[in-house]
Amino acid sequence: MLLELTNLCKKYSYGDKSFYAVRDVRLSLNSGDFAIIAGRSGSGKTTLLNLIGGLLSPSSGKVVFDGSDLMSLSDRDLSALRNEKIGFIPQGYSILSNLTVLDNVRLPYFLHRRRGDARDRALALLKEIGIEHLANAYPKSLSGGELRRVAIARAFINNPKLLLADEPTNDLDTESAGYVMKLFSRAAAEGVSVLLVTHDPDIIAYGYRIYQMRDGRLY
Amino acid sequence: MKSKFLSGIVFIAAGLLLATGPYLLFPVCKGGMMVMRCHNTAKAELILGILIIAVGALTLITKSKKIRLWLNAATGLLAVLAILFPNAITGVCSKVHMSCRSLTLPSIAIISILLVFFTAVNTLYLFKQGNKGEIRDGTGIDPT
Amino acid sequence: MAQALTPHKLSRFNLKRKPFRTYALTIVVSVLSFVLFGGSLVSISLKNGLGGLEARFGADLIVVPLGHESDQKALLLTGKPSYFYFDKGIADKLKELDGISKLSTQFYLTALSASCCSVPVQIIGIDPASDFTISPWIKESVGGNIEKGALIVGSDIELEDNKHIRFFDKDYPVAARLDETGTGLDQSVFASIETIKDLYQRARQKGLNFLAGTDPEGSISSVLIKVKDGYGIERLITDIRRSMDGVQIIKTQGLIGSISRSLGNFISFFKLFAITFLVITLLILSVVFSATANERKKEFATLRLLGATRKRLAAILLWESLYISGMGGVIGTGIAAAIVFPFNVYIADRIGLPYLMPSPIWIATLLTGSLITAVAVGPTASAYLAVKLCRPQTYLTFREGE
Repeated sequence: MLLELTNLCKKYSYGDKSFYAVRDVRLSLNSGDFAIIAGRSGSGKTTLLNLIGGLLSPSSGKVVFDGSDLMSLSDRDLSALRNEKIGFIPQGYSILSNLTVLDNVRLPYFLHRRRGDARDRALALLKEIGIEHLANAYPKSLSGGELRRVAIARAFINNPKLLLADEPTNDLDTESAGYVMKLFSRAAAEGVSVLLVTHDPDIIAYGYRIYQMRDGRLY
Repeated sequence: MKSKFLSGIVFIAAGLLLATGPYLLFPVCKGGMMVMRCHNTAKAELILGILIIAVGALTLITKSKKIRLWLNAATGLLAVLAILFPNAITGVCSKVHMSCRSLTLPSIAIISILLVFFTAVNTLYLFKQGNKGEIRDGTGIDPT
Repeated sequence: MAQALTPHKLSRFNLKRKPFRTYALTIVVSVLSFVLFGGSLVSISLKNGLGGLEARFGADLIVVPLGHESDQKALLLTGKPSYFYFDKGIADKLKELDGISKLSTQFYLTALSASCCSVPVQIIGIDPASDFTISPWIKESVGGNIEKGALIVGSDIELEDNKHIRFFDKDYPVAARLDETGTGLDQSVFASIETIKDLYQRARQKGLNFLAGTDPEGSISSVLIKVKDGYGIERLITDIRRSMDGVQIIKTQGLIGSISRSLGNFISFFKLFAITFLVITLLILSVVFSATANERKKEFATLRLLGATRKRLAAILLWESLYISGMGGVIGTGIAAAIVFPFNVYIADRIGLPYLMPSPIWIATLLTGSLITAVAVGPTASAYLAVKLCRPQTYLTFREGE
């Protein structure tokens, strides 16, 4: 079992009021799984992804990833785990504007101690995703679809075991969306576990396992 | 294009300072009965300054990078002369506290040293550009 | 090989891609380091100058002809040449008063020297037999008595051939050059009373009419007095005033005191100014850093989810601020050095007080201190933000719909 969530809860309090963004979620994923969680915005999808990535700590429940309980890890170990084993494709534009496309893709490689410059691998990923010609461009000159592809290439740089994608086809045209989904399918076929959250009904068919999220609960 | 404009303006400004400075901004000693050395220095700086202004004006209107390279080197040489005149050739007054010595000499030295530095960097830059070929901005084809 | 994207490399990219912010902040820090280094160097030089004045003032009182008090002060402080005379009999009269432990006379002359300058040099004639102010100092520098007919020059007097100085068409041998004091004495030439007589004769031969009615035999310019221990200076001043007219008395302690008071004002003003500047710089940098931190939230969140530790985020931030303050520090102290060193004589003359540059070791210390302060400003200003980034409960997460 690669990922196992047990009774995962995240509670937010504002003054007197409190509500559960994520409530009693149970989920397990194996290598090569392709799971899609569908739900409206505000249903807690992003919070769930942040919990799985160890960016938020749960109010109760457990996230066990690749044999380790995320809550028990130090910032350093948790960061290393995220860096090495999880490819994260966040919602919106997450490309650093001060770096070139190539450097953006190479960036995760350097966030923990490693040898080499990752240039060839980054270029190969860019080629695979069809934007090799933009390697030395700065993000400012790229379209939304191109930026999304850069984020996907970046997620693959360290050969992750788990891919977390938050609305990866948002604001992409149908053709680009299909292309991106095929990439995920191929990754899953190669043994990467993919977990994708979306509210786009067109792409749900790509998943092997499909969940619904409503008011913090997973169905 | 930009570098040409910049260096032309810098030359003209430095030339103006060197030419008029010893008379206005950082004056040499006030003349008494004797003709003082520093007056000769002021004259020399006036001439050098005018020459540098002329070179600056030429730089502004010259299209060829090759010629601009030479103009740059010429300015550098003039700037070296501008340092040498008060220090070695004509000299300044021998009293430390006289204004030609406490004010004019360091002012000329600083302006000239900055100018030498500027022309050295610029010459190097133009030389590199020249090796790259002069066609890039479309204006730099040597007419000769 | 492509560059490794280390925190300090990332910080450089960030600075490069935000040139306006980077240059603006660098300029702010360079102004600070300019003020710190330039200001402290000038302050210390003034303090040294005052020290030089105190060390070279063996006399408690200087008696000069009425109306020439300010000339005498200018001569001592800034080296402005002047000459004035009164009758030698004054000295003899003074000698009869009680409370005087030492007394000596001086004779002033001004002369055009060298080949070019139309500004005269101050020549101070001393009486080696009774002198107690300059002679000990000369002995210190020369290590013995001066050969007959030779001159001693202050540190600012330039010699054509290092051995002679030309006055009234005659080359006089120079026995020694005195150490720098930062006072007007540096611009003076010292002669024994015998040599002064020779100079005087030549000046008369050249037809310099201002000397009419005076001669070194019967005239003097000033009387230097050392008061007996235990005898009140004020009491002696009163005695002198009672016994003669036509003189003015300069109390050197008062002179030094007034200089040190104005110097004290200058230095406390500078300190206040420097501290205000330091605080303002810190404020500007902190405000700019925290303002940009908000717009950079997304950038930091991205780095987090790609696996950067909190420490690494803090490192990027600290490197950025260190680059800014480091560049600013070097630029500011560099400009200060390029102004204060070449123009040090000009600055001294404009201030009009004794001014003596500190030793190279002192200068190096001031430079290091100013640099360290300037360089520390950046990391200090960004420390709060760095700590905030290091706090466990992160505010750096991607929110839904962001």
